Amino acid sequence: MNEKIQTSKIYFDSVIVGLTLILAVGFIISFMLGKYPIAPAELFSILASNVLPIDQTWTDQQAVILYHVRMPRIILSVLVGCCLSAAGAAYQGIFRNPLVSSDIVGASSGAAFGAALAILMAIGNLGISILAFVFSIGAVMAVGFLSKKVKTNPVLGLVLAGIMVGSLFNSATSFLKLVADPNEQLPAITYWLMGSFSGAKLEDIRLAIIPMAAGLIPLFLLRWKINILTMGDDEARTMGVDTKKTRAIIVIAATLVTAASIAVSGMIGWIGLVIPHLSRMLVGSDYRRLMPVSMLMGASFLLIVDNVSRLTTTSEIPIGILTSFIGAPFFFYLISREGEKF
Amino acid sequence: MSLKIENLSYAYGDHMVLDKVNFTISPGGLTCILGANGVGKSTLFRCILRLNDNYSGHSYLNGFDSRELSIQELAKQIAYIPQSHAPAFNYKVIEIVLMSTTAQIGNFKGPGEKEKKVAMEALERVGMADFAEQGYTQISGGERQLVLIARALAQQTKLIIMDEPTSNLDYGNQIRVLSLVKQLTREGYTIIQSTHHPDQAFMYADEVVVLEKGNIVHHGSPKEIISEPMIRKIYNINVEINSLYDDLVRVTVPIDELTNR
Repeated sequence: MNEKIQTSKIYFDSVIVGLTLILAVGFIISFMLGKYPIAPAELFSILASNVLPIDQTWTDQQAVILYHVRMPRIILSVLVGCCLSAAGAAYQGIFRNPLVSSDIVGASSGAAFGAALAILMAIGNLGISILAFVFSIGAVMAVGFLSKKVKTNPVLGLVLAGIMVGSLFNSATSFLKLVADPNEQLPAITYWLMGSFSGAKLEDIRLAIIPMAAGLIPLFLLRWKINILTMGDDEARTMGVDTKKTRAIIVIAATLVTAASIAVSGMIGWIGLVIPHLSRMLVGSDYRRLMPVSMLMGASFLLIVDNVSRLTTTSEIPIGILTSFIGAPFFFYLISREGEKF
Repeated sequence: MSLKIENLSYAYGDHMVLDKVNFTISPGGLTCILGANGVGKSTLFRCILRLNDNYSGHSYLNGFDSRELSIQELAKQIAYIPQSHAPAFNYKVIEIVLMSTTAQIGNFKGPGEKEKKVAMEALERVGMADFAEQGYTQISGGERQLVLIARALAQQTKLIIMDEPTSNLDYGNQIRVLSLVKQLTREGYTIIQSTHHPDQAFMYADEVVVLEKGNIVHHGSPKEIISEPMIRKIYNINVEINSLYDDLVRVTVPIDELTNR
């Protein structure tokens, strides 16, 4: 792509407008898609009846499906897509490595273990969120610490530490499945690990929205600083950035949104790797543009994939499986394109 | 900008790298720091830049102890130019230069039109304005070093520290970078650079500081300081120093190879 175009303001503005339009249209269309048809006119009447006195032309069942089945699911997939992409972009910057995502730095496997533990202990949805975050941040810190031990090759160090910590938490999760009650808890953990929005409830949104906002806002506000952190700690400090503090805020924010997402949707992999890369191809590396574009694109992407997931087959495919089918080949493409950098 | 180093010591564990270093650099001019590998040149820079924060002694900038300054305030006083490198992501040249304006802007802000103007002026100053929209990883090593100099200029400090700025450059680029550095000192910048080439010091430096085993052993003008015995002492090789063009410049020639022929 012509590099001059990529940094021009008009180009960036049109990318933002375009992605917002895609998201808005996708958002509205998603309400009408599903086994139980809701026509556009009915959709708007149901929504408008909240504020306007309109005679009921729809069945009560349609309103229930709209508010309690489709709406939570649509909003959650948008939020989770936005969060996982923003977190992936932030991790890539902080770890100075374009092949990083929440899966590689241990955030996902840590959160998965925490959530499985919470399901096993039957401590409710809030418990799932809290334990997911605690173990997620623990795993990221462990990976960060261990990767520094490989001094000569930071990329290798990070990947090795990620594999190590990830497999440790995955085994611990397997152990939890082993001791879980096979009638109730085991299927709950297993299905949840696959990643799905099929059981999304309005309550899930209420639970996740606060940590998501608490993480997304600093990631958005500090996006210029991420650029400077990618130059390495020494250079960033000489340019006036308090690296320790800034890095800590960004890692906590990224882990918070990852854990909040995983707590409500289960394991949805790859999106945090793929979306920032697609965004980078579109608007370049500068996080001032990359972060908002990743957020918008991730939201639309997961919304669309979730529609595919719930519409294609009668017994729906968990979305985590679909994102892997898309993500793994894309990762291969990345390695083959950027392989010479290693 | 004057820099005064007073009793500065630094140790990595038990290993004393800098031992009570004292020197003063007056405003303006290019100071070259000479010394063999591992004598503490980089450590000295890291202490001045407070990348190694737990040194003992003091570093005064215009009379103010740099320890009293916040990271952001220090960045408004000293700019640092690392050796040319390849960052993890392919930023545009202009984005690389804009990064140094961070100390001037608010915590949650990015650079605006004012900073963009400063960055473009800096790129023009080093002759790289036409490269502004190009990818930093796609330009040559010499061009990257010029961009890093532009970045230091955009930081709007009067003191600039350069770590072996010519080490990765071809011969032509070495000369171009050093002439630019020299010109900047004529415009009022105070520049300190480390180098391994006595000839560069002869050609460009106003002052030379020689480090040996964590101590300053010489400090003065190149012609006063750089002598055959001094080079033998710090680099352990025999050289002959020749004066050219009525002593306008001097060059060092390693002579062991010649006498063995």
